[in-house]
Amino acid sequence: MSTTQGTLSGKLALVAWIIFHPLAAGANDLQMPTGDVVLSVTGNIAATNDGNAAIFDEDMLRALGETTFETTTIWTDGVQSFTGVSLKDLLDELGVDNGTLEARALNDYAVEIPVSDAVDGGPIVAYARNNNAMSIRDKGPLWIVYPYDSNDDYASETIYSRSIWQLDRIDVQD
Amino acid sequence: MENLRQSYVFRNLAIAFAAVLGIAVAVYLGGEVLRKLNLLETAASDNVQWTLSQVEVEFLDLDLATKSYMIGDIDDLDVIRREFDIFYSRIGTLSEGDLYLGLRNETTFADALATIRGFLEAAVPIIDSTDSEMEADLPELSRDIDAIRLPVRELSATGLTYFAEQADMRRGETADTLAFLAAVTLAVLSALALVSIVLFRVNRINVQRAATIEMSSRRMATIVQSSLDAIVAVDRAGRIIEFSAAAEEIFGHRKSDVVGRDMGEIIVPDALRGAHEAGMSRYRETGEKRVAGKGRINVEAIRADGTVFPVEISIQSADSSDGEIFVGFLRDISRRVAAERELVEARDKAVAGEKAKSEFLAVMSHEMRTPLNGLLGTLSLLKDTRLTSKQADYVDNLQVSGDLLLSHINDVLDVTKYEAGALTIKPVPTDLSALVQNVVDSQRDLGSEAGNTIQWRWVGEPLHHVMTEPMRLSQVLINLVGNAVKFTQNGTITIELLAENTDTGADLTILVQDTGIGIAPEDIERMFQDFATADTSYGRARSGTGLGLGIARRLVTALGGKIGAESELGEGSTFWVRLPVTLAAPVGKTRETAATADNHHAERRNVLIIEDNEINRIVLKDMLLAEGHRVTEAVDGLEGVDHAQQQPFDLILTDISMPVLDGIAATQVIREKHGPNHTTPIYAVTAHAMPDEINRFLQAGMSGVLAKPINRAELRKILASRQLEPTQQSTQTVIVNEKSVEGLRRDIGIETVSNLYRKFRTDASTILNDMSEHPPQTDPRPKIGHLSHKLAGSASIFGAEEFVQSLRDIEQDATSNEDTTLILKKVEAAKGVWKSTEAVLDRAFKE
Repeated sequence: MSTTQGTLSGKLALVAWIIFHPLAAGANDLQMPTGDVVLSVTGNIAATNDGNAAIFDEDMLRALGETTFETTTIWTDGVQSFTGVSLKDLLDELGVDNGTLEARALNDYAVEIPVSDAVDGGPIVAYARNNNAMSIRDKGPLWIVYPYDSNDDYASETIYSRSIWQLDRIDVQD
Repeated sequence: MENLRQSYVFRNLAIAFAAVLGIAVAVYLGGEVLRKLNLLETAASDNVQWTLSQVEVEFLDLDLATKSYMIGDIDDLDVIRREFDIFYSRIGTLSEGDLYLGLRNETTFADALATIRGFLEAAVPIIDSTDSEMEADLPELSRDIDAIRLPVRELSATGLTYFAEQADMRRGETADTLAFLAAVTLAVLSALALVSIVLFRVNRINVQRAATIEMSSRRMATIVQSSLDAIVAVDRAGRIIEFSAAAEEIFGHRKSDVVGRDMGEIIVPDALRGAHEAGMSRYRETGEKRVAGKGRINVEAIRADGTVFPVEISIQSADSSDGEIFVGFLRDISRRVAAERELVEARDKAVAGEKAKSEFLAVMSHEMRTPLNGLLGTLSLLKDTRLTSKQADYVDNLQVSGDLLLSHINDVLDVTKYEAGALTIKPVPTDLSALVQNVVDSQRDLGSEAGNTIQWRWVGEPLHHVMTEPMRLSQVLINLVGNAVKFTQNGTITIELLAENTDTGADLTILVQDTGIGIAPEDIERMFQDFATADTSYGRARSGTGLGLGIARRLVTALGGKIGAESELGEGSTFWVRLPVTLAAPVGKTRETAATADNHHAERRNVLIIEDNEINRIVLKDMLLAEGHRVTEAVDGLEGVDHAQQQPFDLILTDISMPVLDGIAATQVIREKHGPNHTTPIYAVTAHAMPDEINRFLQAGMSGVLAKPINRAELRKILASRQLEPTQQSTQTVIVNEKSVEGLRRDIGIETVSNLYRKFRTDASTILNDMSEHPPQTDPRPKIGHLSHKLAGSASIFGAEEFVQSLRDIEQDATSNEDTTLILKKVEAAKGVWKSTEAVLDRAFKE
């Protein structure tokens, strides 16, 4: 399992970026996306780069750390390998440690995820399945996936409903 | 009771089994419920209704986006592309997701899904083409979208129906599970209830048992602690496990000090410890118990202070949870033993006192009879001299007084003799009427002196011949009649005999009634005690030693009867005797005339008298001379031995108590020396009439006893005895002389004779064997001579005449150095004689 390693390398990268980046005057500033924006986070967050919002392209997400696990899902056939940034790393980056996330998908599916779900070994914001980037047809580009097989607690309808695919927006609420 | 108990046990077992089974079922079912609840908890489904409705929504979004572009409402083809991708993704989920596996097996759903997937695959090239190409293909895409409107509808409708059914099924399962859970809960509760009942019962039983056990153990503890006997329990190893309060008191040990220690070290004295330990180890090795369970045993124990004392113990073994234990009950019997010892000492003292009395009487009688012997003997000699008639009267008076004195002394001697156990009864057929007549005759003269008439009669049917001892019975009657005469003057003495038949013979009652002065009732009991005399009696001449009735009582008791008296002062007395008798056939006159020695004309004998008392010696000498015998005198034992060495005598009469050498020692010397008199009959002339003394005389080699004062008839009998016949004249030797046997039995009692005979019989066998065995190359004759002499001396005492004859013959041959072979043949012959002699003597003496 590369979760810890990924998280650690993500943190080291962040530390290195804060120390060596010329514009790192304030901790609340994020890098600006250079590619297509895949995720925008609004609401009660400490770090922003687009007004009150934090917007990310895929490279920025990859830079936050890479967590990979294998699991089956009720929506797919057979064991799948998911790679992405752990929800915890993402929220740490945004300075979020409590409250509720209102996640929305391209098809306007919306679900509330408590911040407390974001733990080590917990859900990730996946950007690759079986080492391939996910297209919209393939529930991409982002999919919040829980390691269903490693924890029976994740085999519940609530968790299934929180497993939002085609994710593009998160609003952090108190 | 046992059955009830068994069924009770079975029922409890059944309940326990049911409870265990119930618990097992409950555990299993509970597990099932948990598993099902787990299944419910891990949801296998997403919110499928939403997903399915989303299919239609997203399809309509795609349709709307396409149509909006075509009518110009929107101008961005990417909107269409995004809606397509979303729809594509949705259909992908339905095609691939495990969630919809069941649904995909529904034909309607599968067909609709295939149609939609066909549309999507066909549309992908249009969507992925450039804007201009796509714009050109839009009308076709719109038509295709319209074509799948119905399948999309069917897809969501079928899915909803399916999942509704699934939900129903799931609810049913949940309901079942809950019902199941309820059932399981009930089962568990039932099982728990059963378990509770069982536990309650078990607990109640245990409580009852505990109470019972506690009560009985408390009771036992009370018994143990309150027992007056010490109770000590030990285990197999002999270690003390219980030590009662009484044990603490008796042994002086505290229980807490001795529990767990070896009992042998605590209460067994040193002298017995070895035996105790041997017993314990024997028990441990073999399981043999010699003391336990064998009742009461008296042993010794030791106290804490070291004193050893007697205890009575009883040990029982018992099984306990720790194996076999021994429980000992110990009673301190030191007081009892001390009391017993005191009693024994008191009795010993009393017996010793009695013995001293007897000895005193014996000595006194001896001392009195010796001068009396002289007096009466001299009187009888005086009567033979020429006397004036007056002198003859005086001599007669002296004779009467002397006789009376002698009878008193004889009474005393009788008592001492009976006390010494010489009173044996030998019943013979007896004519009762003749016996009573003789008694009356003997007393008539005495009675008439006081003016009394003596008469006798049978009351009722008379008995003629019965088995009894006539001499003893006569003596009793003489005593009673004599007593009656003494206390009656000018009256009548009546003897009445009364017989009542019984199973075994008859009860004979003899009444001796007088018309005399009578006895006070309170004195009657005393009358039968020794030396008891009533205060008054007629005439000093009739006063007695007071022993008569005491002797009568002893004799009647020895005969198996009772004696008593009834009397009132002034009314006369009635003495009664009751005897059980057996009837006997009348006998001839042969026995009555057996003693004919008086008439037998004696041979002229050569007699040696050894006597230190001059008067006695002279009296005896004169008696013998008067009978025509030759007499040699010796004044003590030593002189007697000298005479005996010089010439042979036919008879030796010796006193016992003499200076220098007494009669017994003299006899032994004469018997041991091979002089001319070593087989000569030697008679003790003595007032020592005690049975054990007679034994001593016989053992010393004497042939018999002649009691002082000397009775001429007895003396004549001895002189006429066949024993004194010279051997060569003995032509009619018998195996055993019956008279000798009779005399021995009469004089010293059958018991003593039997003892003597047993000893003699053993000696005879040994000596006969010794005579025929001798080392080679030696001359056996001296030994044979000596042994045959010795054996002949003993055999003659028992009247074994033939045997004595053969032994004398052997002795003669041996001393005159005859041929050894001949002598040994004679020894063998003597053994044959001994066999027949032994048979006869066995009959005579083995009672």
